[in-house]
Amino acid sequence: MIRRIHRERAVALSGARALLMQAAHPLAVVGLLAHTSALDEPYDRLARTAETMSTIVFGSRADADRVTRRVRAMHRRMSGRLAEPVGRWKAGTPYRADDSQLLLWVLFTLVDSALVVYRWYLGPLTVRRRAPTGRTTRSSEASSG
Amino acid sequence: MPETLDDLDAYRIRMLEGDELFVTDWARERAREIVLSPPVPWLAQPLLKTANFITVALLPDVVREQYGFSPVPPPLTRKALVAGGAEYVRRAAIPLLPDSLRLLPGARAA
Repeated sequence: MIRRIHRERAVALSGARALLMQAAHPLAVVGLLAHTSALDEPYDRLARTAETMSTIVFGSRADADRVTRRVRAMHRRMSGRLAEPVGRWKAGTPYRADDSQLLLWVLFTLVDSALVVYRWYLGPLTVRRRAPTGRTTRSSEASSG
Repeated sequence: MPETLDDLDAYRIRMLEGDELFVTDWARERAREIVLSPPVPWLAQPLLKTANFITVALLPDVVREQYGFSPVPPPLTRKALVAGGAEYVRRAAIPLLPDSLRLLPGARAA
């Protein structure tokens, strides 16, 4: 399914939406600002991220495992505390780049944005929904956006 | 991780209706600039402006509002314009495109 969506050039339109949504999470932003030099060369960094994602989606399992190991290792080194309050987050709130909730938000923005763009520009996306038992039960149109 | 599309919908609602998201001044200025104003040749500027118009239209309302994008055109008008363009692309352009133009080269090989 992920290959079926991301093979379409039109889905590249979803990247900007996903990035703006990611930047709307203060803990994701503060981690980025505090621990990377991404902002010195933002487009080089984005190009590397796109290459990593392309490997994960279209590469072999071994290559995907290799790049995700590298990304996980980088994330493990990044943690800290908010220096000042931001929105509902109080000063001193701890953050970690490998926090599963932060990672879920980032992943969600990518999945949601790709689904929205696919549905608008390519058409309905028919998927097999999984029952709680894990058994595939019926086809249904993906809803998003 | 949400396992079904229903789980994904529930997560979307929780995040967009909750209070975890907050667009900071940095995001409103620098992130917006990085994402929407990449260095592209002047010939590609109209394409970039079109892509940015679409991006803003497709953002969830709460996120679009926090970024403070121009209220002109109003969100509903912007969305209607993008919907019209998308309808044309979906029905008239995409079906006519050969795979070599429609699909990524790496994806065709995978």
